[in-house]
Amino acid sequence: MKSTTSTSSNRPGLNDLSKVELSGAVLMKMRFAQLLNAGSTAWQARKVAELRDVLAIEQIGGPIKVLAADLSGDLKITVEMRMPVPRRPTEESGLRLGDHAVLGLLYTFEATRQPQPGTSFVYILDPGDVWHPNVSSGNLPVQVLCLGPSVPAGFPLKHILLLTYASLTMMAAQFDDLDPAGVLNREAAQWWQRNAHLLPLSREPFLKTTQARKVAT
Amino acid sequence: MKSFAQSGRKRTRRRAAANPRPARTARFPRLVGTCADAAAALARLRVAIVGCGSVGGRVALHLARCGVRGLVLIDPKKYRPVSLLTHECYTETIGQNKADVMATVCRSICPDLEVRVYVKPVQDLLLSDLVEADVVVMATDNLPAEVDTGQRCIWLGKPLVHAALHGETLTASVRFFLNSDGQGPCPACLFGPQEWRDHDANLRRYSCDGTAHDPCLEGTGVVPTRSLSFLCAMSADLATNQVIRHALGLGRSVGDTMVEYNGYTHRTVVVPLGRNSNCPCEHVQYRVVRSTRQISDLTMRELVEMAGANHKSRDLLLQIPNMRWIDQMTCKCGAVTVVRHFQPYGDLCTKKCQTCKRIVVAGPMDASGAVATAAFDSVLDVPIRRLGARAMSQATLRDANRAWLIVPAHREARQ
Ligand SMILES: [Zn+2]
Ligand SMILES: [Zn+2]
Repeated sequence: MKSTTSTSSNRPGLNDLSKVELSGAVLMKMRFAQLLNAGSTAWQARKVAELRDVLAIEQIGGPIKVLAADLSGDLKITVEMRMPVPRRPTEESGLRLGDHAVLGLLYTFEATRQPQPGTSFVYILDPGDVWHPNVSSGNLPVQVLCLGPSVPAGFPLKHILLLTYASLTMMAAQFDDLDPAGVLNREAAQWWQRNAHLLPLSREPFLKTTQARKVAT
Repeated sequence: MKSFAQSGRKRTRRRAAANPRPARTARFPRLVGTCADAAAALARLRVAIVGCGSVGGRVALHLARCGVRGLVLIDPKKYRPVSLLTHECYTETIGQNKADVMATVCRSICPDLEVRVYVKPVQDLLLSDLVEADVVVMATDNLPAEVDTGQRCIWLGKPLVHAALHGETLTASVRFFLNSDGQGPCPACLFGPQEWRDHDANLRRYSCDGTAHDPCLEGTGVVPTRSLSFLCAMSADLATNQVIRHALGLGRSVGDTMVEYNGYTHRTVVVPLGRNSNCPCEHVQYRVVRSTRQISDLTMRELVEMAGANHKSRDLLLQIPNMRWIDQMTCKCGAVTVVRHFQPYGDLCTKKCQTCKRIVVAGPMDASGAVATAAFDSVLDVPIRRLGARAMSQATLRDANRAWLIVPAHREARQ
């Protein structure tokens, strides 16, 4: 019995983020955020671990850049995510696509111990006209992304980022306004049902990586 | 929350005049191993009951008859026709809330009893709602409620009596979690993989519009416990026995033990309960601090000093229920507007930008439910009500290793 290793890329996946060493500007962001971190030892450590994962995704060339991070109370991270973003269609040009979104990520201590509504984690700070069945439209100060009927207690932020990417690129979105989970923008849901040929907006995976695999032969 | 003391009192008194009420201690036995004033000790006892169904409802009746001082009854559910088979209820009460009905019955047994009723899931209570209870009894088949109640009892250091049964094997069991220092076992410590699967299946879900759905309340959760009425009563009897033993110090300590009776073998076993180091609950105890002044009248400095915490500590985190702190807002023009104010969740916070004169609305990223007290540096000596938190029944403080719950010294009965 021998074992071989097939590797097409050595970039780590979401499960190996803890092994990624932060360096340069990314490490500076981590250190700066840690200057004010309050709460119980466990909650402080959890905030650091979640932020570290997000920064590790940036470090390995994932499609995000952390713009700001605040560990002082609730965990708040502002990231720029690069991907095609659907914007409200106009009469002249139809559907418009942005090339990035600025997202506010909010993670409370409560989210570590109780399941939370899918609308309580991701806010779209820019652009302000995202055209998506699961993104709110209306008078709120920012658009909200719904990740589903319930997000389990302690759900990691790296997976929230993955879900956000899949949702905004329309790889995985909920279009059925009769579903009990509902949609946040019925008009957009119906528009996308009529324009299903445009789906998805991207086939690029969140992390372009094939992990080293040991294949026993 | 409902307090129905007023509604029933007049009628009950009139009836009481016609039929003289027995003295509370008329049937109280001289319990072996207790001092003479055991009844007086019970008359000081306040018990919260989470789940007032076939088991919890009977515990409430027992305790009312034992002459305890007060009961806090918590149950969001109503009696259904099928409840007639296992509950202490009658056709007239079908469709009524279980906690409400039990409160009425308990008050008719003992008009002096202080009763608070919460017609909502235990998960929706404030931590301070259980602070006056000496013991918490839990009798629910809703696993998320069990985990949540266990967590609250650890935080508050409240003994928790968990009554359960297994209908198929005629087994009634009662676990007693002492919670003396936060380091002992809790219900979640004892969960196995199957319990966690059932727990997850019964978690609250939400629609996009924010409406919450509780599978256990809507009858879409796991199959309800099947049992015979007498087994529910047996579980309630055992649970009440443990409450009384603990309150009066009867026999060996019942703390952190499980007693189990089996109807097939008539065997009773008592086993110790152990802490699970992988338990996801937070095994930390809050220090309860009672403020003789309204909490909102305190300044932030007074609040922190009353708790014995250090406001200069960079670890210290404050939380006020249903309030979020807005430190500042950033306008689209880039100008920063200082706010430094609490805002109730759901309320819009708007300010005029001093640079471009546009109206700026605070977004979720401008607000924080938990605030590092370092953020209050410039407003340390301003009363909290002037910072926007006018009506507050509790505040919590956390630093790296300690936790405090600040409550008013005298809680008034609220409607
Ligand atoms: Zn535990
Ligand atoms: Zn401005």
